[in-house]
Amino acid sequence: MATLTVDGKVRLERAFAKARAERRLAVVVYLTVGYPDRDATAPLLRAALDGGTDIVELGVPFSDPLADGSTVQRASETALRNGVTLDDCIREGADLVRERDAAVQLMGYTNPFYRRGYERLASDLRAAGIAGVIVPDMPAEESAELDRSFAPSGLVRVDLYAPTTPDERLARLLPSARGFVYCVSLTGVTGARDRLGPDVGDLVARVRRHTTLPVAVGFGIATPTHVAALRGVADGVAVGSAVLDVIGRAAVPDRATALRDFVRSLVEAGRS
Amino acid sequence: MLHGARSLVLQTDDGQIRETHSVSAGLDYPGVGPEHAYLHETGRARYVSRTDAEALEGFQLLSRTEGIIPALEPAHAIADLPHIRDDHGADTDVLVCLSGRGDKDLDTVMERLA
Repeated sequence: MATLTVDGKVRLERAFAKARAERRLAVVVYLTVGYPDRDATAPLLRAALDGGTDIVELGVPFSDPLADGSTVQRASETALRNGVTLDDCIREGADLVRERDAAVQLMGYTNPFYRRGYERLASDLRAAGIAGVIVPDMPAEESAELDRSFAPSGLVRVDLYAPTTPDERLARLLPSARGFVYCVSLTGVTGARDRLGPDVGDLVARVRRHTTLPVAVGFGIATPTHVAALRGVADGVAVGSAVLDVIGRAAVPDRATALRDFVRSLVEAGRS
Repeated sequence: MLHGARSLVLQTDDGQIRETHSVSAGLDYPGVGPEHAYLHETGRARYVSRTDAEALEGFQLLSRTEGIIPALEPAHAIADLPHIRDDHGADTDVLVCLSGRGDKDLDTVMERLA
């Protein structure tokens, strides 16, 4: 096995820098591991990268995904029925890093991470070359234990900020943010929407007062039009439910191609 | 770690929360309140389980003998009384906390006993 010379966080930074150099938004693609079936994940992830995905968010399925709308909930249930474990997710990530030198993060809920033990999680992620985690049900005030385990390995935990997050909280939390900042475009759960939340520009502007890190916008981003609307506002977009919808709608043999083309349309829409 | 609280939860080895079932809505939850988890951990309280059928028997027993209709949650405690008697003798004084009243559960009980 090749020695990993670059850590996951550097891959994240590099992904945003590359997109910026190409004068476009970085595209973060979310996929639930094991959806629609276990064997589908590996080819779908590669198709997403072929379409130009800058960062892969691997969804760790969880029984109680409280930040997710119906699309990701259903994908999560399917994946659990398919027997997907945290180990499977880390393995998919490790393969992707090794083969494609990809920037990979896990998006999952606290309990499976906690159950594993944060120290062991940190060493597993580090060994896999995964950059870190997004944990929607872990408030920053409760993250000290995980952060302590992650810090020595240079792993990042990316917080979510919503239009309702007060300035005082942004000022307190953003100085310790690492990797990038994830802004939630709306007040609600994940899921494709017809239009962007009205407050997203204001939120990104408020965030930028406290950090120079790249800012990605997610939740509800479903179409190239949404992506285009975020040019000059954000540095990246995160797309999840719409990706799962594309996969779910395509005939089985066409899934990978459909996903690649969809991702490509998102990447193109983000060009200035 | 469930719904923002760290406590005892019914879970798999991989940290997935398990499905629950109980005839009483108040017990049909995979988590345990922090106070009970603490009492359990410190050994101050011992926790036992009773089945739906036993709870329904407990419900009827208290209703018939005392004219008090217990909620299905404390009906589980009533159902444990015969076991306490067997373990500690019939002379033992036992205090039961009836945490709720059973008129809220009559629909469920009538359906089950019909």
